[in-house]
Amino acid sequence: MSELATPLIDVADLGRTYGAEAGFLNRLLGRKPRQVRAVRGVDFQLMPGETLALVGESGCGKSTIARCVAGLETPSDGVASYRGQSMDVIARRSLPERRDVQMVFQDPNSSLNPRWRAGESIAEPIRVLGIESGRAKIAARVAELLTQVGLSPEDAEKYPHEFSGGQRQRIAIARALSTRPRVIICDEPTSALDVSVQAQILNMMKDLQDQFGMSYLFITHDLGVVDHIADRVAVMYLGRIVEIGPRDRIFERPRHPYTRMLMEAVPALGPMTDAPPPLGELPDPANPPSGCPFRTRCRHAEAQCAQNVPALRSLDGRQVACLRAEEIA
Amino acid sequence: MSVFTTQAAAGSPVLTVRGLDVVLKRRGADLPIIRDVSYDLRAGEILGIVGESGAGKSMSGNAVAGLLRLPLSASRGEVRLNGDRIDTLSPRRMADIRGKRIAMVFQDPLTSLNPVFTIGAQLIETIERHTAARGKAAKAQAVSLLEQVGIPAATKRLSQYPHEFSGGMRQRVVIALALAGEPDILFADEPTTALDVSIQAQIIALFRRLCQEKGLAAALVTHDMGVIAQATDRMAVMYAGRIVETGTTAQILHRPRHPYTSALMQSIPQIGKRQHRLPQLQGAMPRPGSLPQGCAFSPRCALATAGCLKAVPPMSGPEDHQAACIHPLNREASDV
Repeated sequence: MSELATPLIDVADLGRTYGAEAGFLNRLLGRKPRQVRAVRGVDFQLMPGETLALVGESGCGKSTIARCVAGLETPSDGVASYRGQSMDVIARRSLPERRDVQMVFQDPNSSLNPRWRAGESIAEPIRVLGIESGRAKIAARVAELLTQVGLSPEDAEKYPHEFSGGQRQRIAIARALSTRPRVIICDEPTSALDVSVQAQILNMMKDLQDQFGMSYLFITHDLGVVDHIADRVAVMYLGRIVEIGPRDRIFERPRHPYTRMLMEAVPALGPMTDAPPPLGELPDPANPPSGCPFRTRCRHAEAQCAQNVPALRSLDGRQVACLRAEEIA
Repeated sequence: MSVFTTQAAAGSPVLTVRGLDVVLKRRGADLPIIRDVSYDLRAGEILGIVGESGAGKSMSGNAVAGLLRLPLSASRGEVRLNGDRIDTLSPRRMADIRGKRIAMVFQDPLTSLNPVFTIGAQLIETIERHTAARGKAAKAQAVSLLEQVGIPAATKRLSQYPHEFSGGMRQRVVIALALAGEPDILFADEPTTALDVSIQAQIIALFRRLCQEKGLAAALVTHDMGVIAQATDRMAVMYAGRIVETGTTAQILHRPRHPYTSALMQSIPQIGKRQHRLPQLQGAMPRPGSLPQGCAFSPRCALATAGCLKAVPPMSGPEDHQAACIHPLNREASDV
């Protein structure tokens, strides 16, 4: 990908806060509302044909970002835009660009209507977004999509319960592909599947990318999957990106202590390690620590880490938000 | 693992399971769910039972603990605890053994904890049911258990409710509850599956420490090969209701004998072992009732021959590493 290419997705200073505003009574009593800033100050770009993985543990904000980029949620701050236009506006006004960004969710059971045949689920976006018109043309497109995801055209007549979990995820992917998107946002698409089925789906997603050249924004907690599928990686902790850069750079030498902790915590398929397990637990997201969000679990934290939130800065071919990155890694 | 730590393995097994079958009772013919499952649990050792969904890994643990309810039923085989048969005991006698001598930990800690009672009340109730400690002694024991499982400020946390604990801390409480009866056997069914990897690593370390310190004989049921590698001494791989490979974890991970074990391991994307395509197993595991003739893995196996379809292959190979395959990988010199 050349430096001159323009990004498809541009996320700038994105923030999303959940929780009630302070009501009249609470304001009167001087109580603070419980608000969670699920995502704050997030910047990244998604280039044509690349796969960017957003990785982190539960509560880090990765799914919130996915939903903002898909236009399913309105950011509280900043913007997620597709080719210069806010995704929020694209989604709310049903602009034609809507067909260019599609989403695949973790659980195909809840993303497919159990009363619809597989073919109807796949045909819906084609009809609604006006990709094809005419019953015969739509049916031909559905048959083509089913073949592309490794199912047979006859499967269009079956209901979701007649398929296995992996096959249902193939149908969800066919539905996402139906509008010939430029970007597919995948939120933990293989997390509910057995590993042998996961391998089938990951291979298929790579084949589809080779064939159609779309970009993936791939949300996952599984670093093995990230290493396998991603071109670039963004590691998130407590609503912020703490390290972002090319996969090879980050996996060969992680520079943020959280990235290192995460990589060491993945149980390796090799000999038992005697390394001490990670320290502590995720802090309360409504009441995050001052300064660096990771400092409460960091073996290298010092007084200066509690003062300001470290900004992302360039180091060793990636960006990292750690004051002590040079010293410790 | 050094030769010295295998001392416990040389001791006699605490729990032995032999030839266990579980069937789903139906009008007409019963449907076999698990077949001919045999394994031992030894003091101070963790046995991993691994398989994909539907392989029967949880069912084998539930059968041993007497947790099967009709229409599921153990139709054949025997289970011995310190030499005494327990599979023939009445449900009431079995309920006494469960909790006291065999403790269970499940995937979701919230289903094991009562949301309307404090952690302390639940711990003390369990301690008083299974041990002689009462009142203040039981409370002291509850504090000690919470400390053993790594919960800070244990005395204060006794008066808190399950919702006040994080997911990882809840699973620690469940482990403390399981230990309350001072059991010989611990069955843990996907105990880390709902947890983040950093917390999972903490719980694995806790399991290993507790089993060593208390000499527990433990079984860890999981779909996650990484957890098996990091937590267990020996392992059993299940496929379509049967154990297809068993042996020391180090040996199986290093030199798997069964083609299914090998294919399963290769299909796992691992950090630092990048390949353009993951080697993938075609198709899916057959369901109970539609098993192929002979070896259940044969339709998906690259090495299958006509001989594989004739009969279910028996376990073969060296005593400490057996596989149910007539074309095993990584043959040893000691193979017959």
